[in-house]
Amino acid sequence: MPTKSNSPETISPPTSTSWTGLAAYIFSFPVMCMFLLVLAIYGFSVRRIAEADIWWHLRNAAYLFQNHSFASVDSYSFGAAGSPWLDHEWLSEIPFFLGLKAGGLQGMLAVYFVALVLIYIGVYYRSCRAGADCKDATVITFLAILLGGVSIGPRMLLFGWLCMVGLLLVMDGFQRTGKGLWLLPALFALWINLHGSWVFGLVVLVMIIGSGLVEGEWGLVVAQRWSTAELRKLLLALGVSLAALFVNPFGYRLVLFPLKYEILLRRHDVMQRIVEWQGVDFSTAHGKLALMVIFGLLAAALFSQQRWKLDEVLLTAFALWAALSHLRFLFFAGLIMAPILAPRLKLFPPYERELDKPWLNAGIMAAVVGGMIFFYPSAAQLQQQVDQEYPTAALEFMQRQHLNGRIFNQDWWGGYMEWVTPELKPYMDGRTDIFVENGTFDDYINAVLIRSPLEVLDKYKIDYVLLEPAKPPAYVLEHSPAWRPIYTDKVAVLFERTPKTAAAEAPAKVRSN
Amino acid sequence: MPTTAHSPQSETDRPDASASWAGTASGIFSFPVMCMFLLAAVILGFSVKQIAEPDIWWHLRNAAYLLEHHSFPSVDSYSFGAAGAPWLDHEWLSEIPFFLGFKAMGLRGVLGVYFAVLVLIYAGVYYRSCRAGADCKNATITTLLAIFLGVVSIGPRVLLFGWLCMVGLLLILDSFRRTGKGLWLLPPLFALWINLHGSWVFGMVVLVITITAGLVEGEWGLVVAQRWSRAELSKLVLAWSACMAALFINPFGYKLVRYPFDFLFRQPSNMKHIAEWHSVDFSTGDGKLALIMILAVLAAALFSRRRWRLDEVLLTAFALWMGLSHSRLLFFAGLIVAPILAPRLTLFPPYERELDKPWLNAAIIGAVAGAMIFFSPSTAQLRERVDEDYPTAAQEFMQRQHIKGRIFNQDWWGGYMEWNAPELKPFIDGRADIFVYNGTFDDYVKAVSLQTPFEILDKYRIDYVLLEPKQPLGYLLEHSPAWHPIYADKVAVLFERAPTATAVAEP
Repeated sequence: MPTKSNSPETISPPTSTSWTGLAAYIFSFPVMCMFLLVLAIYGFSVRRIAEADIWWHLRNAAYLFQNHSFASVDSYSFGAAGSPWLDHEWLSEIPFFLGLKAGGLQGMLAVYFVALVLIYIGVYYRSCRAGADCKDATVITFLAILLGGVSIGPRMLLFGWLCMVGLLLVMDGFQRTGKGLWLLPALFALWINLHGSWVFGLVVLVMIIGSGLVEGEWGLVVAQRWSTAELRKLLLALGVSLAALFVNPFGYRLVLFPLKYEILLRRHDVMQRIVEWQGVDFSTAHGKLALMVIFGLLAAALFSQQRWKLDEVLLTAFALWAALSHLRFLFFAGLIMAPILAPRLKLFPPYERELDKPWLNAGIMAAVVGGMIFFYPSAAQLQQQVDQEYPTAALEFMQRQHLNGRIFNQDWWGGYMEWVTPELKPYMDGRTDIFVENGTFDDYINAVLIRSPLEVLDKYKIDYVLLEPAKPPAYVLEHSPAWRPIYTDKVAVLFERTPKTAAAEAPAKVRSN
Repeated sequence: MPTTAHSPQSETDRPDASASWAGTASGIFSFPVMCMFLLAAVILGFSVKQIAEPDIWWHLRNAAYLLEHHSFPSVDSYSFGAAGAPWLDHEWLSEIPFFLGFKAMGLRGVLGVYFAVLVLIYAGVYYRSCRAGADCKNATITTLLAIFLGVVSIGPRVLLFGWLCMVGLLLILDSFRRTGKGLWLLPPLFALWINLHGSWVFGMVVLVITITAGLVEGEWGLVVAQRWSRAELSKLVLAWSACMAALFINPFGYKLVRYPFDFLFRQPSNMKHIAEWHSVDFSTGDGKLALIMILAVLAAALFSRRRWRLDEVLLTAFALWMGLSHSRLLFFAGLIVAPILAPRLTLFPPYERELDKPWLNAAIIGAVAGAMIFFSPSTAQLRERVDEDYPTAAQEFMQRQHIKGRIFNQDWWGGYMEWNAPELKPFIDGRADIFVYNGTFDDYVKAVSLQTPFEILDKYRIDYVLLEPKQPLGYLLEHSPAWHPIYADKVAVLFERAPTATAVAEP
């Protein structure tokens, strides 16, 4: 397997140890480019605080800190009350909870901003190490950030992708130096406690190992076989990594969770109901970015003379397949493809260190940092973002009125209700798995897609329905004598069952045929 | 521009030069021809399942009108949603073969027409793949991929005539590249095309891409561009200009030339709400095929040492963009990409004519042709397929009951109603454009997506609503005192406005 280093001088430390040399390195053009990328990440991050799932994650972490044990059955909703549940992302929840405790929504923003910065610094660094000029690496990392836009926000998944970058860096290091594989088991032991995306890590690892089992040249593609010593090390690392997966509080159940989750989602056709699990839609901005990636790959293959390693080809195909099939994996595709495309992109003349102007770079970096601090959103601004998407005022109304009863809600509001008003137990939240297992999710779909909404509301003896206004379910209830709206604003409308109406009116029967 | 013939093996699918009987027989019953028959069998397999195309019915009505009145319908007289609105029969020439097929043999005649068109299209793709230098087995595989990609548009669709013209255009351009001749065919092709279908715009883009790719010269990685000679360029520019002029040879003049742009810029609702204009969905069979196409193109670029002409690169990019952005254009993507991929695919050992067994090929060809005839569906079977998708029985019920009034219908049933029961004028049909112009289409969407259904039904003073069962609107009407179902079967449910009910319960 090739162990050559492609890296230009862009990132490597200066040979001079003098202060000027160090300053020139710190305030170099490549580092300044990284600051510009951080600015772009910041621009996306500040607008994405209102993530649907973060709220029940916070509740899990709060439960863990309060009870020093994991929530093992559902106690947040009434739709799955008492059902067994596995807190499969427990470790990722802690930083967000601590961030919130320390700095409110501002603290939570800081947590995912830092995670994103680490991820994309990794992508940028790998792109440069792969032989790309820093300007090309900046462009391609920016594309990766745009692709990742779909998952930017307070999401547990980010810690999974951070581990992915770690894995790729370890593998790069091994390909260059033949060392560093001892880090993998520790990485996987951490990863499984953070997020289920460790499965992707394992696929990536197996692909990299597998592509070094053959040797040959086919067109632009080249494969070099691992030496016996290398292969032995890799297989050992793989074996230990597999064993390390069991270092978690739930044992084999957490290892099996991604498989179980996948089967559950596919069996109940859930993926078609959750936007980020759907395929890429090329009429959207994300779709157009995906199209750019496809064209970028085609252009890189056709217009560049640079050879492709077999593992690069396999990883590209895997990332492309995953991302086009499921929107949420555009993030993953960005991580994989950016460092592969970057050295094949020749948009700019090469960076010349001698022409660099550290004082100018330092000025720009200071402006970037200053701008980020100055424009860092206040807690009130972040709360306002949340209030635009969640039924804060409707929930306050319910609390003021001491409304008690079974509440049918939009699924993505469930977590927010559980965090903000735990006494108002929602029908369901974004955890999906627990609700799919007991059939609550299917009933939710039957209600919101107007297959049998009134029947579902009767089945669960729903007293209140909290919905987005001007949507089909709200229209049906507005026109049903069994329901009446008791609160409405721009974000939500709350319906109450009409006191003495006998459930929903039975459908009219066909008179003749 | 290179005028080299790429095709070493492509001679294989042409009849032997020998005049002897044995030579002719071995040409006709050769392995490449047998492969073509297998492809035709696949095409038939898809064709027989897709007779129930929603738009064919109003196309038949147009052609009937034309042949009866010897003039085009200029205003709508089929629906009540756009009654009297000016309308352009922009695909008039494609409608005639379908109508004649129907007159001659009923639904079997319609099937015969689009099967023949499909066979011509894919025979063209297969031929181009072979001529591009692919082995016939590899060409068969890529043509099969093209057929699968085209499934989205297989059926009695006027669009097929457009894609047939596209194949014609590509063949002419191939020939020009090889021989420097044949461009005189382009103006008549475009004159025909514009009267058949609006996809002539794609033809124009392909032509322009091909011409401009020869304005530069160079090599970049695997890509090579060779400049047209002055004589070639003059011919091409002249042909292109004549094609532009030929577009005006149609019964509607500039209006027909303008129509595709009208569709693009004045009918956004059409694209937004009609499934085949949506982006490819990778969870479906079409989506997975699109993924295979993308990966195959990348693999061809990476694993094959064969060079790409600049026009091949540009056409591939254009076809990918179009095919992925609008699933209906996967058909187009297949036509373009298959002959580019085929010579880069080396899945099989090369075909050797000396080892060919004409008697075996003849037997297979005979078996395939026999099976196609034997399994060709009867009129009753085709009728049954139609009845599974269209409200035939509900319509008969309405006719028996002498139901009169304004009918709100699923848009894809409108044409069927207009053809089979013209006295029952529907709210809307699949023509879309005419309904987009006057706002009926937007109101239709507001009703079926439950934005303001009762308000729309009241606005148009609808008396009857004819829907598929288990639709959200049907659920709403079932639970409304203002409506009651008077007919229901597996395909359709018919609601009648309750006689004394005052519209709808106010929210």
